[in-house]
Amino acid sequence: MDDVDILSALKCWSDNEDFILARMCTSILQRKLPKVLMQNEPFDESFIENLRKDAMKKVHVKEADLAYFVFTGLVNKAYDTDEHNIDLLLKDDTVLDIASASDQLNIMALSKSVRKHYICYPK
Amino acid sequence: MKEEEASLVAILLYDIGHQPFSHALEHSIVKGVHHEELSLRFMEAINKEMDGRLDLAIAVFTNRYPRKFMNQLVSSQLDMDRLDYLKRDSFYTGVAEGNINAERLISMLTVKNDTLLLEEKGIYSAEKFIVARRMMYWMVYLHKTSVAAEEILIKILERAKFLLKEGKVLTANPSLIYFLENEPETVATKKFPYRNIFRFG
Repeated sequence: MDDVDILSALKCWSDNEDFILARMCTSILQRKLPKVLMQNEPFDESFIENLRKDAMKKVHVKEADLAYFVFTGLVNKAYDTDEHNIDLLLKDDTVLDIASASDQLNIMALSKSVRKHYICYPK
Repeated sequence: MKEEEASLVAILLYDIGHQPFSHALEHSIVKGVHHEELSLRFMEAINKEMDGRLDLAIAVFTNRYPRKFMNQLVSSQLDMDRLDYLKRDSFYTGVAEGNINAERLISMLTVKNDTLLLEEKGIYSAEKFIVARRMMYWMVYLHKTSVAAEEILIKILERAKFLLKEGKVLTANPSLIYFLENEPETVATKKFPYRNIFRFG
């Protein structure tokens, strides 16, 4: 299986009698993607609740199915030390890792891991 | 010669276990199995058909071959997969910041004490590689629109599984339906013996 099998399934399902499945498939196929917000801190409970209420009016689904339309998540990119340990063989035959050898990389905060919270909701 | 073939085979088949939409659906179709474990299953199956001709390639892939730098070509900071996907993704997305000079980096590779190293004069290309990779993460792979689209893909399969369980009929490739209906967890029960040597992405 490859991407094509998934895309063809989305096409088949885009007019499925299940409204939720059909709507999600259409949103991918027609690039009508939800709004996305990203930020460093988690989103406020009351903020999420407001978006959920708005979404209920927009998509007309039961509260139990709202999770398909309003959802939060976490993007986590850990730049572990591993991330930049490329070792260089110097001309005097010694080995030095690139983070120590490079003046350009030293000033970059490459080792800091980055976490971002996101929330998706209907436009 | 045999080693060269083994490295090429390992590099070529390294990601064969990827499912559709790779990392996005890694946990939606075949559950609980890392794609490298699936790659290994494929390689073992092909190896059987080829009467063991992939023995050496599998040893390299699973890092059981004494010359460790060969595995580093397959899976490390500067492995061929990374050089390849940065160039390809940068080309297809039009994000020029992700482009790197893979040929230059490869020609700067060297080996000492069985470890893959870069010649000193390759330092600028390597700096570019690290920065390019970081750029691609934030501008493409973790871009908010790709994140949202991937999430929806996952939810579509979740919903499809739910509907099938309810007894609804869905049209799709029979292989896809099979995996959605059965969630063959049995595949995952065989523990991957070399797991700890692998790193994500």
